[in-house]
Amino acid sequence: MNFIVNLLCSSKNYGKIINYQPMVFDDVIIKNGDTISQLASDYGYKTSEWEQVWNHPLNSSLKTLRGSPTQIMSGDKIIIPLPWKITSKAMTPTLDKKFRIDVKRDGTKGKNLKWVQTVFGDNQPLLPPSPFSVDWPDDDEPFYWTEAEITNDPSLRGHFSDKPSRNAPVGRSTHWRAVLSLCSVSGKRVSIFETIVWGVNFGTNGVNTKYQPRPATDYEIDGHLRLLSIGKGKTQTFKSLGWTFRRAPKN
Amino acid sequence: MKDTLLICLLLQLFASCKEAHNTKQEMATEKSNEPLNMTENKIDKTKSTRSLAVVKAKLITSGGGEKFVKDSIEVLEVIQNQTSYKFPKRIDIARYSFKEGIPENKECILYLTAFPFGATELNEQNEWMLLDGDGAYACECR
Repeated sequence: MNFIVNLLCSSKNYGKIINYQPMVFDDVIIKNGDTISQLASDYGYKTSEWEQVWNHPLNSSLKTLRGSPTQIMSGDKIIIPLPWKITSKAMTPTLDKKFRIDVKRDGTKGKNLKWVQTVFGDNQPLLPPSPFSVDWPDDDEPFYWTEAEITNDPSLRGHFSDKPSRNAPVGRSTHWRAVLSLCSVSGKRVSIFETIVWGVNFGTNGVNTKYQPRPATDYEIDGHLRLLSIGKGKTQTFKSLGWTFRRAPKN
Repeated sequence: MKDTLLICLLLQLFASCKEAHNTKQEMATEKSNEPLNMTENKIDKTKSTRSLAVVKAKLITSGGGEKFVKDSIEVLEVIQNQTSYKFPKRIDIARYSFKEGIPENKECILYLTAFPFGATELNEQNEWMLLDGDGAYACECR
């Protein structure tokens, strides 16, 4: 039955049909002044695509309650599907024999879609001193790009770049690894939903090899979430600032 | 009386010497904050307007890290400084790890701003970064 419904729903003959496949979502509490179109835009949709949010089956109760998107009220909960995917993840060699990664996602700029990364430095010093860290502590938020960086270049919302620049210590190599997630942000709650692992092996003889990006396992995602939850920004822990981290729910 | 006059004369002489020395020092400091001979140290007006400081320097070592790395430089000359910070001979400058660094073995004009990106003044640790965190933009080398 589901197959037939999906087939019908995705048929071009039905005009503008939305294919409601199971997907991850964020459940957002509406605040005064929020509109469905603005929320859709904040979470990666074009404003003209607000119906994809409003008409989603998971919002049927809200639709029944309010009747029209203009009647939503502060305190209502709306489900925002997150169909966004990482569309490219390329590691390219640099002149200094290291590797740079560039990761891109689809969707619009979406101010509530961000990147978070946790790093395992192996035998390399990290900031703060620990084998693990949450990217570079250039501010007190857990996101890779700061607000200043995004204001300067809004395309960074859809684009991640990094390049670990390390030399292996004498006597052994370094297996540097990072776990990178695309995430949705609602208030101080971070919901991760597309997570990859990537890295570089820094060799003792100066020969470095890339660890090709791949989807993270459940175990790696658990570790990633734990590091985020105990992580520290420039001056304070994320926990003390009220940040929470979870996997984005899936219907 | 004669001794008193002699002492006064000596004191006056000492005071005028010190004044001349101070004036000379002020000039040296001022000179280091003014753009030098433009044919010798021509600086880009757009970049210098966006910078808190402009220095002539050489790379000593490139640092390690992720997202940001810190390169150690030898400051040869302070061309422009809009802060009260006194540049030491050696200082670490941050830049994005995935952007170009400071070229090796060259004297370069470096355009500097406060770290992290977007900061308008130096933090408590007096951290500096290349303008836009990018050596390709912030370094002009011979």
